Amino acid sequence: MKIDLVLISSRLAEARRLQAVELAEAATQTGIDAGRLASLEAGQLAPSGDELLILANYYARDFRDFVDPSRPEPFKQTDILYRRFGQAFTPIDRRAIQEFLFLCEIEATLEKELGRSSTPFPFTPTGTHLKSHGDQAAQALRRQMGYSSKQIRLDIYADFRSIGLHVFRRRLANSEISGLYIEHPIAGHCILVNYEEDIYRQRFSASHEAAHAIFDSSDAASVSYQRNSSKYDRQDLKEIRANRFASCYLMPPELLPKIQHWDTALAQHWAQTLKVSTEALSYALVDAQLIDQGTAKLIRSVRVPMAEKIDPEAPEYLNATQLNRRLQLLERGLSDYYVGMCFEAHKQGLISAGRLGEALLADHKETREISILYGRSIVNEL
Amino acid sequence: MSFDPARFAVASVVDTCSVWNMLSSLRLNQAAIQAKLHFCITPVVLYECLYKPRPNITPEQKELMDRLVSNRAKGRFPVQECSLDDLLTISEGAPGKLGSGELSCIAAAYRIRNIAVMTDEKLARRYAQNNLGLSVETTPRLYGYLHYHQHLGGADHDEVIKEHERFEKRPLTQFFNQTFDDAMRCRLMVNMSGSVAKPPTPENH
Repeated sequence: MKIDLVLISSRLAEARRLQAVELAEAATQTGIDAGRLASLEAGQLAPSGDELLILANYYARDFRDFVDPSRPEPFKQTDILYRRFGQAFTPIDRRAIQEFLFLCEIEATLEKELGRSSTPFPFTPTGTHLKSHGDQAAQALRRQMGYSSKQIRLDIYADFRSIGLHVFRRRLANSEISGLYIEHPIAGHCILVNYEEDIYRQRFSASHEAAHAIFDSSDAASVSYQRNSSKYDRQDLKEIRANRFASCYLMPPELLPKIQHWDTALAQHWAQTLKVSTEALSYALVDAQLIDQGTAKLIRSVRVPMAEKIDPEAPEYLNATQLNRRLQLLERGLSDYYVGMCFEAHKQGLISAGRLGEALLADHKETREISILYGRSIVNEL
Repeated sequence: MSFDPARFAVASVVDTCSVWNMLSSLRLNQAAIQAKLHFCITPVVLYECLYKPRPNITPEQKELMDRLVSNRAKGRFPVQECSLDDLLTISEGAPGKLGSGELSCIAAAYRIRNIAVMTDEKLARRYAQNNLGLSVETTPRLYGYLHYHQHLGGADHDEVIKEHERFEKRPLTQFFNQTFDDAMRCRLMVNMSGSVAKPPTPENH
């Protein structure tokens, strides 16, 4: 491969700009002299192999992004995201988003190499009423999944992965953001759910972002805000459609209880049964014209206690230590599905232990700790 | 994998995993110094070992990091950089398969040629050896070599493993036992036939 200094320098500068990191900060964190880093970004010097690997690691990118013109342009989607919503993201959140995309790319690559195929969900809506498109898509997807109208699905993350979406949960500093969607040039549909939200809200957010993947992938990137955020646009038809999809996927209208006299205990009971927040339940009941606004307010006034909520990716059979560790990994964006697949790829000789560590965003020690948690081995040889 | 405990590369470029495995045992590391074997690392390995941001550092990790810093202060583990050209050349055959530390060590050895890559990782090792024709060493092989040439004694065996297991959650004990046994068996055979091979020098290796 021919070394293109203009390409390398512009991409190094772009990677730093997108993460909103000052030159001095990047220099401190990578150990590369600030003057030299400036020269690399100006195209006055070519980086050594080590410098490129360190910078790629620091920017959470594959080093080939900086040198290989045959790979899809790696900055376009995040550039669109930050041009549209740049104010919403601190440098810490930008790093989280870049790591999320890094994981999506690895997940997509390993799925392909391991021969794990997904079943696409090619949906074409009928009519011009956007909100009803959400309804139709939810019904169609539930049908594709083989769910009966009364079936309540806990692990919707597995559902969305099965249709080729990459779903990760990660804590974002901006708690007004519930999730975001990016159409990645290599990985495809990528969904990030803010782990800052409670578990049941996360299920709704994941479904909401799945709707963006189904309907709005031509937008390249979108951000969803919580309903109580000042940035939430109640008139945005795409957001309304995505909410309708999420609501109907998690709570098909046939499943909604027809109760004359709601009280707080019933509200908690049904939210827990449907594994949704009382807020989402109230909006679904209002939409189905089963309650009035006063009852909706009553339902929203209570919450399902945190201790009673079950996270599908942190199941109850784990002991306290394992659960704690698993939750820590989830916060870093490492789903059970993803971690298991990385170890399987390592076992099959598709990735080395060093690459496994990078895929897990972990150092040598942490990689081994995770391997113990997952009961998987690191392959060594005499 | 065949193993001749009489031989070990005089100079190796060591990846992150092997740096920690070597430094996990003071006895093993001291014996390697005594054997006049040379080990260098790449800037990426140094970054991964000492500078890469990590959420928390355990006392054991801190101790290993201090050992690396102290060894480097004494001139051990000098840095050998790899070029961008070599990185691109060697990574073409293994896109997305190897970690940064492994890639940089392989690229550095690819340029120098008469230096081995030291990695305890199976895929990296096989790629370097089979696809690029590089010499590859491992920490267990080093251990066997040090026993064969009596830089370590039989009484050190349990202690080295104990030291190593204190730091390593996925220890190489099985391989240390294997290379120890191989070294002892080879020594016995050579003793019975009359002579033990001298440690290799840069000229005869």
